[in-house]
Formats: sequence, C-alpha cells, structure tokens
Amino acid sequence: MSSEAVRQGLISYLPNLRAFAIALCSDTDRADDLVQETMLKAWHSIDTFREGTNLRAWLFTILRNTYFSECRRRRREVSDNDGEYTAKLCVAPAQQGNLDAKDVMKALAMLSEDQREALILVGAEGFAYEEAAVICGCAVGTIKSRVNRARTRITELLGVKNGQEFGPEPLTEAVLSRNFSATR
Amino acid sequence: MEIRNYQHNYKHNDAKQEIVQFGAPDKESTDQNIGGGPEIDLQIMRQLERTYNKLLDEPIPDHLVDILKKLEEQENKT
Repeated sequence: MSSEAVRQGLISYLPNLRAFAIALCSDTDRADDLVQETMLKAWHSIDTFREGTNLRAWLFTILRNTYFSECRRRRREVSDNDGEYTAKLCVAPAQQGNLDAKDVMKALAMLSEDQREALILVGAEGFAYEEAAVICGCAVGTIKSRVNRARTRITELLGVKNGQEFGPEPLTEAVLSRNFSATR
Repeated sequence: MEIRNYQHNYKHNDAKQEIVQFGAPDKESTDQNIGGGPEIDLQIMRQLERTYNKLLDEPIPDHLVDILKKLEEQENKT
C-alpha cells in the first residue's frame, strides 16, 4: 500500500477514530492523544495491514487496544465490568422530556468499558457484530450480549419510560407544527 | 417489521452508503422487556446515533492532520 493511499485512508477515518475515542474516554484532549498515537502506530506498522481487508476495522482495533493498554498503565480507571458501581448511578435528563447529547454522553460514560465500546462500535459506528467481535477480540455472542446489556443499562440510566421523551423540545415542536399547518 | 430493521447510515467514510441492519432485539432481550420494549430500544439507538454524529461533525484539530503530512515527508526523505 502506498504511503499516499495510507495517508488518504487515515485522513478519511480521522473523524470516526476521534469520535470513537471521545466516546470511549469522555475527554477530548485524551481522545486526541489517543488518535495521534493510533495514527503513529498505524503508519509504522502499515506493513502488517493486508491490502483489501477492512482498514477501518484495523484502525479501530489499534485505537481500542491503545486505549485499554493505556488504561492498564495508568491504573486510574475504576474497573467495573460487573456494573456494580454503575448500577448505583443514573442520569437525570437535563429537562423533562428532552434528552440531549450531553445526557447520552454522561450515560455512556457510566457504562462498563466493555459495554460502552460494544455499543458504540455496533450502534454508532455501524460495525457488524462479527466485525466488532474481531476488533474487541471476543466471540460474536459476547458482543451481542454486551450490546443488549448496554442498551438495557443506558435506558435505565436515562430514565426513559416512553418514546415521547425523545421528541423535539417544546419550542422546536411548536415551530414544526406551525410550519406544517402553514403548508396545508 | 420496521423496528426489527433499524437502518443506520454511516457518516464520513467510504461506507457512507452502506446500510447496516442493527437494533433487532433478539428474543433474549425482548423477553426481558427492557424499559418499555423495542420502541424504546429504537429511540435509544437513534439518540445514540444523533449524539455520535455530533462527535463526527466536530472539526478535526490541525495537529492531527499535520502529523500525517510530517510522517509522509519523513518517509520521502528516507
């Protein structure tokens, strides 16, 4: 693979890598460091990448491995794989009936790391379960289970009881309904 | 059933047009009747997608893009 092709590939996936990193560690500066390290590693080990395979999955694998290696090295993160700690936490929506991105980010941060990465990879990045399993180095069934548990947990954390809680905020709704009736 | 065919569009990558089936709660999860059922599931996943898309739309810091240029320059020199 030519260096230009690698560079183009890395550039095209930069937004995805950065979004994944932010969602994983909930810290923009740390996420940028993580992406930078990922790019350096990818560049220097491009010989190990098999052309024709999934570059995006390869890059995500490097990033998540870098993240977890860093976590182990720092030993700052609270390991909560069983979810005992997070089970005690919850996120109240910023406004009644109006969940926003911050609420979701807070709730994501409260998931266990395993569940968080599985949910982001499959639910947000659109990886197939099989691809996510390869990235995380576990069985497909494990990924399915983690995604299901993550969905259940995030629903609890957000305190969602009915679908209307995701509707537009009252002001937006009023504008939309006005526009709609004007076109009738 | 629409809920069982949740479709998710990628952003910012080659797979932009690719549609991935996601969110079909398997029997195990629907049996558990989580938080109100599949409709809530779908809404949660859509909200997650919206949140993630906001992250994708954030501008990339210049230093991250510049690193690649520097690496390429270094390689060309050697």
